[in-house]
Amino acid sequence: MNLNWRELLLTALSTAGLSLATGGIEGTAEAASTAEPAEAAPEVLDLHLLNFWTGGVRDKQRAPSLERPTADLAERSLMPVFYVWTPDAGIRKTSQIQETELFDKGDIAVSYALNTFKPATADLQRRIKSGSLRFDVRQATALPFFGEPLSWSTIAGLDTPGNKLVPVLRDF
Amino acid sequence: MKDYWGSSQRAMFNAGTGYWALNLFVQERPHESVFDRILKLGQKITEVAGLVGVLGIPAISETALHATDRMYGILNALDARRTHYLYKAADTPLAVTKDGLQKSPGLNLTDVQPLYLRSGISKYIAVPWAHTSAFEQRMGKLTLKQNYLVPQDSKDESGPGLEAATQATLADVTYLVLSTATTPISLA
Repeated sequence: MNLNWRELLLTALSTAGLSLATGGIEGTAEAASTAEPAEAAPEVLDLHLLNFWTGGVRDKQRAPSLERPTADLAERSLMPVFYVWTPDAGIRKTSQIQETELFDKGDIAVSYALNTFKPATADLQRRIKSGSLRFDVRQATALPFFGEPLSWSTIAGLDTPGNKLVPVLRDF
Repeated sequence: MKDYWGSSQRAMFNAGTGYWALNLFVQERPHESVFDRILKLGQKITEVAGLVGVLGIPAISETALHATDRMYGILNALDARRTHYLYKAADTPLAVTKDGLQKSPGLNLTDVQPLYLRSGISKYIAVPWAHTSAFEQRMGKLTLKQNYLVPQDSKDESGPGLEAATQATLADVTYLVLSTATTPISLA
């Protein structure tokens, strides 16, 4: 792709007021102006990833479902399936949670924490540069005194060591 | 061994319903991304030790969320040679109360069973669908210790013994453990 995405990005960032991140962004701009000769390789953009984050992730028709037939088996294989663990009942599917285990009604505050991530051996073998975990929580209906549903996100980056492998468990 | 995400965040579900979305990907790229630099900068500013920087965005509006999504998408898509998802999901409907489950305000439940969030404190384990068969074959003999899955007969509660058990358990399964605590509030 021959579009100058770095320029576009820097423009967008400065417009959005993210130039507070001076070390990273200005460093990039400087590098772009001084270290990129005419023969620099064209920049690429992962359009599948961009399309997912600019629409797909909020598409209610794409909510994870084991029941709905889907043509994209590759995407289905990545769908997170949740299980619940309790000291008395052990591990079970979330579909086995009884309605009696829910609150009856009303507004509920949910505190959440991402505790552990343990990749399978096959995932550890991937030769990668970086990674990102994002967990979004949002309201389904608007609060009466707020104009819109609020959203909460937790975003994390996986920084890889020198050998460019996903960090091993003991390093977490 | 330690819980590296650590701190909890709090969201408020009015009428007992909501959504969540879990996504995790790793990338092949020729150089460090701008997003990585931003995270590292945040890491330096907050002096958070360790390999992982965490950026929390509490309570932003729907409009701001879409702008954040777009920015996040551009930052991560730029110069990414290959992206491998480990988890990929759009918003998943949640039911936190019986009333919310029955009335489903704001949820589109066509072909979708909402995920129930239990009252009180719970631990949820997320497994990619491709690994669920291997996981379900063994989950009856597993338990959680220090937020890692280990055999139920594992005696070590911490230290090298527990670490060895976690390494040896479910080597072919990717999983993530998420804690939740739900409490009634009044937003009226």
